[in-house]
Amino acid sequence: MIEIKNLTKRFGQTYALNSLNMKISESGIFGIVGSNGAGKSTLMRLIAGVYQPDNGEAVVDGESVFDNPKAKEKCVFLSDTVFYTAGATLTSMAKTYATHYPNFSFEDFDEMVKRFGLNPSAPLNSFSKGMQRQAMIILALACNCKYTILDETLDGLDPVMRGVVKKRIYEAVMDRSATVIITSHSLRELDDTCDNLAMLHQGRIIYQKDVEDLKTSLIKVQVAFEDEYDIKRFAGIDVMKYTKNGSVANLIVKGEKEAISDTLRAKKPLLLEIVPLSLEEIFTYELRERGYAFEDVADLEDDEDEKHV
Amino acid sequence: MKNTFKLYKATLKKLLIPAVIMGVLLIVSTILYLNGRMRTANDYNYYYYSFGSFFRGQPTAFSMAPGLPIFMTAGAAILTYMAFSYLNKRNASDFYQSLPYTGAQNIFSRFLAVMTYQVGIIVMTLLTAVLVLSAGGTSYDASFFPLLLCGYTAGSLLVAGAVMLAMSVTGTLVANGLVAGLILFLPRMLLFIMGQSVISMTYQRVLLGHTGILLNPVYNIVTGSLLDVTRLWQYYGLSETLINPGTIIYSAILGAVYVTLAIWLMKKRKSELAGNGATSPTMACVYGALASLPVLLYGIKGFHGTELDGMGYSSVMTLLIILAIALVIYIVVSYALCIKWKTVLKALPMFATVIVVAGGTVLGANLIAQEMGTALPDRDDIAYVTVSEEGNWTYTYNTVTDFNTMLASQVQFSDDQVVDIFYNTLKENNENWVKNRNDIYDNNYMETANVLCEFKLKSGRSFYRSVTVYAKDIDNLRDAMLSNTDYYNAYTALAEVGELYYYDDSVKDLYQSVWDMYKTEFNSLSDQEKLNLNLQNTYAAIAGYNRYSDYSNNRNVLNLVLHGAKGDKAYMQYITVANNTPKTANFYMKAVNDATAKKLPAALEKAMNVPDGSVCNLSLTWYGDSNVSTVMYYYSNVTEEERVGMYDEMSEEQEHTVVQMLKNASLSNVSINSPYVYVQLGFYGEYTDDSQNYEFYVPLTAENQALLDSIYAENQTME
Repeated sequence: MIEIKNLTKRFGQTYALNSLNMKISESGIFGIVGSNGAGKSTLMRLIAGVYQPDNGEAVVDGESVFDNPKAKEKCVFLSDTVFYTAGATLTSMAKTYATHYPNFSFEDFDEMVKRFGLNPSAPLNSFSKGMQRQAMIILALACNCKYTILDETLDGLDPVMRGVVKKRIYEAVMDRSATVIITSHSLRELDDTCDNLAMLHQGRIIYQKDVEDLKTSLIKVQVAFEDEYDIKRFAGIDVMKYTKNGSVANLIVKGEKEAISDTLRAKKPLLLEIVPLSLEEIFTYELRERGYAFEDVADLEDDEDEKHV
Repeated sequence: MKNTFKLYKATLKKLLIPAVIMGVLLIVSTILYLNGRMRTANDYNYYYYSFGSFFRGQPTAFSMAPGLPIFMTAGAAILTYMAFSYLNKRNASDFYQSLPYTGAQNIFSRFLAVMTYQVGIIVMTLLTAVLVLSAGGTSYDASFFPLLLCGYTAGSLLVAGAVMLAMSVTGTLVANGLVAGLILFLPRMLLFIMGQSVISMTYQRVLLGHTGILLNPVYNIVTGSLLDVTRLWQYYGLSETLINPGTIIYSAILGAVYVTLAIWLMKKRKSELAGNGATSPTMACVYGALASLPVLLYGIKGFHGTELDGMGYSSVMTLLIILAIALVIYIVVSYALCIKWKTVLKALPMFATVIVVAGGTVLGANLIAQEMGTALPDRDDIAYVTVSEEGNWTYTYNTVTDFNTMLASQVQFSDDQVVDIFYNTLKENNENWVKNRNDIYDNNYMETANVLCEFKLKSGRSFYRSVTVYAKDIDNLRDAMLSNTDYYNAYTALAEVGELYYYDDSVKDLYQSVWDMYKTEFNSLSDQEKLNLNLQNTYAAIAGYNRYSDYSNNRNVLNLVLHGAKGDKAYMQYITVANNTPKTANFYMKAVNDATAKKLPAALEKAMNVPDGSVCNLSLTWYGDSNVSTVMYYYSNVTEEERVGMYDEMSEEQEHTVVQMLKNASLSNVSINSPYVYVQLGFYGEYTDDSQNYEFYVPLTAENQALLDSIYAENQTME
């Protein structure tokens, strides 16, 4: 388990992280979302032992990680910018990683190289940016560390390759109970990937929850009645958002899907359709409930001009 | 330990290619250089003067491997930069700092890898030099090498430490280089400039090598070598700098301090410094200020000791220009490191600090000069005095000492008379310096003897001063010193030389025979005669005081230049073959005549009818009954009009008369102690490089002397 205890990191007068506390449990994929400057990369570097905290500590399996080879050996860190030595090939970088990480598996490396379709003997500087990122992911996963820390690693990959990478990450979690921590500035990048999600804003965790719980806690309902109605018709249901076009109302409702469905069916609707919410939509509503504007906290590609309750 | 070794091996691998390239270049260049030097030396049989020593006598640090001083600095800087270059790139810094090592393991293993290559390459280069020198038959002192290895290693450690320290507080190549340069050179430059000012203000009574560890740049191997190689200052030669145990220990300790400090700072270094010149805009301005300091210091060096009211318009203008240049450097460097004009301009008042520091050196140098110029140890504290009779110019200009002076300088005078004279003279020098500043001679320069004294104190400390002994004390002092057996023996010894080397191979065997005969004749002389002979050949300020005039009255037929070495000290000895070693002189004169006899008739005939396009050159030096020589010349290509006014030159007619006289003269029975003429006859092509030269000795009969004297007198009258 990774524990972040009262972690503070300052750059000059600016607090990148301020008294941050969180826990990342073993085995699974932990996503951290935040807009640029939220402190994601700083947090990743602190967890990887790159930075020395100004206050507090990042603890890996009970041991403070900074300047601690035993704890650091359990973590492999991929920075948001690709690193390889001058003139390096994927194979030579694999040898470099293998020197430093005792569990590095050349078998896994070869398998992933084949799967990703990369030439291991070609100089890495001849690769496209996306290919370089794939190469780095291969190297990180081949280290077979207990904790793999990926800082905005999925960002910038094309959808097909993102799928391949995600699949490989799932396998790592399934096969060897690995813990993968991924950050992104865009929630959509992490959609359908993470078991746990945390939202970082101005150096603080403002939201953290199990994704399964998240997805089942909010539902989107399209409903229509024969007669005229308004929001009062939905008394007893925790409606977070209500819009009406003609006779059809769109609701975002908090609660158990089955219970809400039963309650609405009892009101004899002409139309009742329950559709799942995207993670981004869930976050938007959850954050608004906590007084944050989602667009301030994470990047959004679409504007929303719906009427709020 | 296991972790450190893993990373050490990885760094060795990373640095392999540059290290191999540098090592191969260094070794190949050393082989080529030594091979070239030895071949040239064998071809022409002469010594190469090289940075304070002689190549054939004792290979010096420089002449053994001229690339090593460069490698010590540049190699260590390049390898250290490459080992730690990850600190300048954010992603690389993140990668290496995320690896499972402690900060100290990461840094120390890299440092070790750098030093492994440095030491390895130095050892291999030195071994190569030893092998090449051995194969070429050049003698060398093997005890010289371990110290040399330690010297180069300490220098490398110092450079590596400075570069590491610089990289721990900066994040770009330019900033790394600038700050490393400041760390390595600025403190010593500041002290060196102050030291130079002290020397200048004390009128070289205190020498830079004797101003203690701080003011002596030699104690830092890197600055000492740089100053030596650039010839900015040479107290020691490069060899002495590198093999001086004090220098090695000081440099190694300083290097270790740099490395320790660098490890501590690198552990605290923030990744985000990568790509930025300095940790903060303020620090960028601090570096800018420090970078401008050397310019200001060097610029105002000339003003040390200058009174304010003595400064004219041009001095003020010079000062303003220096200030302007320093200001520009401050602004450019500060901007280059922080890229913020606003910060640079806001921090402009910081430049005032630079001016204050520079001004402080002027004040400091004045105070130190005042202190050192009047310093005098307590008489009762002096254990003994050693004296170098070549004076302070030898140490200032790094000339090579001669054999007898070298021996004499090792003699320890502890008797009261000698110590008292030196002590009282130093006291008088101090008083005269306070009274007259630059004129410590008290307007009596010609009647003084300048020597370098080491006053060895009972505490073990040495107090060095250049002492000017006044005429009133010299005779007493000389007698007192010569009564010391060691000192007397030093001046009655003969230079130890294994083999002679001369540019002209044709005379090598002859000179060797002359030297062998000189040695035999020298050993047959009484001690007093030996002393007189050596003092004619040696400059010794006290023992040889006023001997120069005796030397000029000798009948001198040959000067031999001998070279030798004792340990790492090379020496050079002039030997004059003259009438005080008559057997040797006669042997040489006969040998010269024998070599010329067969060719002489044709040469003299040619001198009577100089062919067109050829120039004849005749010189006659003759001794009558006294040791005073007379000289006359003849040049065939000088017109009669041009000859007017040159009273020691003969006309063509006179030359014909003289040549006729020489034709009739006998070359046999010539003797140094009888009247003789020394003749040099040469022909060379007016438009070509062809030349033939002849020299011979002719006994001077009364009749011939009268003829030569009359021609000489005739020309004198014409003039």
